[in-house]
Amino acid sequence: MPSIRRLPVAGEIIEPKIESACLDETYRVLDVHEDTNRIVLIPVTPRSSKKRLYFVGPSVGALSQVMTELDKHWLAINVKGVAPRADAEATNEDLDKKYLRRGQEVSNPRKDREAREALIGHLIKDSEGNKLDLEEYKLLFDPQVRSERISELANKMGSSKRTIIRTKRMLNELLNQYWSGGSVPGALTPFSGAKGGRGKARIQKKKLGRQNAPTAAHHVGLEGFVMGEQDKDICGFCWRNYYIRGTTCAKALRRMWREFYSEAVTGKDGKIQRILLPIHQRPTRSQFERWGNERSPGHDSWKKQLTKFNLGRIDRVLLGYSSDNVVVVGQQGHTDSTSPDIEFVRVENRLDRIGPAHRILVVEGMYGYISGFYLGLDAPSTVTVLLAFLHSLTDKTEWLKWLGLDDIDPADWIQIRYSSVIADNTDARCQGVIEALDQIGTGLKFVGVARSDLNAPAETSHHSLHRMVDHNLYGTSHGQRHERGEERADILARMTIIEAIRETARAIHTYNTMALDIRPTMEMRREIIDKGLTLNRLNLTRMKINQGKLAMSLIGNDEARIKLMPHVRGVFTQHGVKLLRPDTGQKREFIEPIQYISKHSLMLERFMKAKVGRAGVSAESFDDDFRQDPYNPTELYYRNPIDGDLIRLWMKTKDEDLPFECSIPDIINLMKSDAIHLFNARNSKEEALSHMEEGQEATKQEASDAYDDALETVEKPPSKSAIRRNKKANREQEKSTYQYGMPIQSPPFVEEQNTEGIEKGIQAEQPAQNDASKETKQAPEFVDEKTIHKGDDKPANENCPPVPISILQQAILSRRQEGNKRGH
Amino acid sequence: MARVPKVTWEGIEGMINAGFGSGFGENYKSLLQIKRWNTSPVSVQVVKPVPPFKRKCHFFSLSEWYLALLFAWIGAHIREQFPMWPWQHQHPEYDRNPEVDATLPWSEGMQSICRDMGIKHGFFVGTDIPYIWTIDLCLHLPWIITPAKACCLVSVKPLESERYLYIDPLDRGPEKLEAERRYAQAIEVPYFLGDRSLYPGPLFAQLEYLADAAVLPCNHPWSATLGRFLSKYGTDISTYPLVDVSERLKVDYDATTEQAAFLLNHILWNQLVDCDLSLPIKTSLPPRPGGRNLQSAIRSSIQGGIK
Repeated sequence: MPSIRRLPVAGEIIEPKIESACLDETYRVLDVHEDTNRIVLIPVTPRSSKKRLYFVGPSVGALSQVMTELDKHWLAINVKGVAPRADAEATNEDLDKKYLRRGQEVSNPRKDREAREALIGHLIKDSEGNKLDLEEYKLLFDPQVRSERISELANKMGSSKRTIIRTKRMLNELLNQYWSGGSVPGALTPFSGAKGGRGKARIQKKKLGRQNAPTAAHHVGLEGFVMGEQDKDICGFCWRNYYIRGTTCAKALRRMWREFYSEAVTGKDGKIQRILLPIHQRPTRSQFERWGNERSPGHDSWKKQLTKFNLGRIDRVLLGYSSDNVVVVGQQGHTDSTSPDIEFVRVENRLDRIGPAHRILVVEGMYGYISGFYLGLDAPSTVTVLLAFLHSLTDKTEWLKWLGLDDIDPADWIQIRYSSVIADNTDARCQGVIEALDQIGTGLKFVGVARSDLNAPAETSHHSLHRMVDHNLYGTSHGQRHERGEERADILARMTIIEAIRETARAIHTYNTMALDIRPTMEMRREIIDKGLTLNRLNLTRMKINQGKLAMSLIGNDEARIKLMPHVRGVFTQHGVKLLRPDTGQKREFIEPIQYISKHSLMLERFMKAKVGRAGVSAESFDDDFRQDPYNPTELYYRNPIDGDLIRLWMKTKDEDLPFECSIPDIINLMKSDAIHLFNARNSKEEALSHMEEGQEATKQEASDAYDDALETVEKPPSKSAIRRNKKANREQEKSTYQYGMPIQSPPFVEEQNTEGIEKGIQAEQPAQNDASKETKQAPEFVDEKTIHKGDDKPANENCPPVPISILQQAILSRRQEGNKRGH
Repeated sequence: MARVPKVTWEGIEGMINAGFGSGFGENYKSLLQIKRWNTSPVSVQVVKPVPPFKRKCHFFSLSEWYLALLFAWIGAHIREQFPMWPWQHQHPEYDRNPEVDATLPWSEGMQSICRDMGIKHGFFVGTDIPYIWTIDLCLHLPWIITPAKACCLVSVKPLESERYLYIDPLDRGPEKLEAERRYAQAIEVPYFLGDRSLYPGPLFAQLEYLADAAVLPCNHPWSATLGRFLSKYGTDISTYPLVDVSERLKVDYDATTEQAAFLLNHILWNQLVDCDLSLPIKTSLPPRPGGRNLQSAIRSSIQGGIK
């Protein structure tokens, strides 16, 4: 500390350097009078008594002694002075900023400082508010003068003796503080910082509030528990961790007592018991609630509504993003499954509900680009997870065509192979997925239990898709429980799975290509915005790929299919490959409506073998494994066992709409419903045949009877040779009555009119008529009914004039009559 | 979630016979593997190969994975979850080179070490079968000629967590670390504690994506492209921005974007151009040198270990 040797000046600081110096502490010089050898000093630091701060008054000393000790370096003048308190230097605004409480316009320290300044202003200023003359001012250092002036002022201000005494003491203290602090108004600033200002807890010494019963009854030592800092922390901890869902406040309190305010006592049986401390040595419930809430704010209401599992999941700080370590595209993917919150209906009958579906997303970790997904009825499993990755890896041109999304550019779907994928411990954590993804060079990272925050890109994508598509479609449950009075989601269901896939694809495309409302980085601005491109996930991902920031190169579509596509069992037949239904167990049944064909030489060879080489071999001889791409159901793949290449087969079906509206399971379902239709069709077919044969039988019987009647008319049945004789002539004769070799058909009404009269004539001639002629008689009536039934408003026999019989008809009638005569 | 399999002597014998916990390089089989039943409440578990091998490695924390990548980058061969059998057994390098097997010290086994330390060795839960301790990473350092010294044991622990910042002498974790140290000391191999917090973060981020391009087989068609490229531009690569490497590969060698990216990653992983991977790589700038020095510094550090 630099010190100089000279006469001290008012306002300077003198410090002792040794203990035996005449000044035992740091003093401020108030006045120096060389002629009278007097120096007025005042201690700089306040005294403390019972936590109360006060300043002692100025004292008068011998200047020569001070100077001597300064020469000896026992004392030193500190030319830099002492650092004033922060509050002493603070402006009014600073004080308000620091100490202003809610509802106040002026902070208490500022108010106090201004009041104090005004108070001692009567002593240090004249009546006009100007500073006193220096000589006048120095008189204040004289204890007697000072006392008189203070008494005079106090008498003016005080009303009673008590207040006068108080005012005197206060004025004395304020003057001391003023001088000690360098005679500046800031020195009068109260020690609010030491009082426990805002944000400072007051140290409690004794129990506050009303007395408890024992204390009220004058039992000493049973006063309430005084909370220390540690106790308050314990309350905060227990409030945070014990007062959770499924517990009550009382239970949490008792648990706190057990774990923090108890003693382990070994009982007579050797068992350890926790004995709670006496009630006055542990916090009360109100203390628990007060300090628990104080130390763990915001943990009371919402925690009660969460499960312990969810609480552990969200009750933690997150010091970064899950994509913090991702620097290139494909370095890290994210996958997760969820329900789309939609109830679906069947393809073949929309009145049949089939319940919810499952969706698996594959999301790129760098910008959240969704590169692939699975949506279907199958729950997350090895097959479905691999299908999602297959979708991410393969070209989607055909798939988009299949969905009818011709307006979406297939190039907008970037194929990405991931170096590693983050997944939770559910669908992807199985040996099948680990093995299959290892084959395509993708590793797996499994987050800790309940650490879905580490898989945030997938989770947020779920959320976005729920908002963008799921909750906008028919049959959505909005991801919430059904409430009374609301229509159930399955009642509102209207959509099939394939429609949901179509809309999900559209939504994902929108999600990937819509503009992002993020603050662009310099790179984004340079590479995308300045080039007139939209700042979206697709362009950001493309930008990185074009920069060469790509973790893994793509593998071919065929390789991806070989490694990820599910295997299906099919059979080579002469018409192509037919798939076996997977739902019939040991029973071999084809998915009949579809078959797959190819002109590959190996395939043709196998088809031919299936056609000609069936003898002596079992039914399974032509079975084989095929790979099926559900995103491209019109194709099937067969891996050539010789060179390992994939051979593509195309679907062939008579139902053109089938491949575009139904997946394979849908086709199987259709087959089931078709089976009922076929059963009924077969039944009605048999009925029709039976009906027809009944008519044939009747006709045959009639013919036979007529023949028998004809035989009865002759004496002797003609011999076989007689029957066959004149066959040609008979034929010519018969033919002459025909037109174009056919019996002549007359209009019904004509025949009716004419045959009626004829029939009557015949009837008159032949009273004994057989059954067949009766039916013939009834025929006109039948025809008439039929005519009316057809909607003919005017029956022919009523409105039409009689038509004359033709020559041909006359001939027929005359021949019949001849025949009858001959018969009789 | 699948149930924890019951541990029996027969099961352990079967695992040992099947080669779990033994073998080298591509043929090593991790003793502990990630299954449906052994999820972690705190750690991210990783299943992925570590170069230069293609076998799946099982890491039970992200730090293990990152450190394995780091050591693979400097040329070490990783054996993860390496067993420290309870009974007397051979040196970790035993059987790699039969000619020197006789010179390698044997371990007394963890049961003996724990007994000497006065701590419990532990049993499989619900059985009287002694637990099989595993060390997180057992490294083989091929650049060291002495076989006994060409091995290093690494225990990966979250050194920034309170458990390891403020050691409680009664805590099981630190006590196990001491047992591991004594194990390594007994077989005269270096041992040290590791954590990803000890190294700069960008290093791991970059090693992670470069690792997939670490190996390019000689007979791969891209290998010839790379050879031609390096013979022509190899000396000048360090003076041009890395993006120029990609462009040059695309323009001069008809490489696709993906092929160029792979070759650039391969160059960086293998430090064919000296590039400091501990700093974020800016492709628009020439590579910042320092990667090779970093490699040699890490090599030197792991050869020391805790004695």
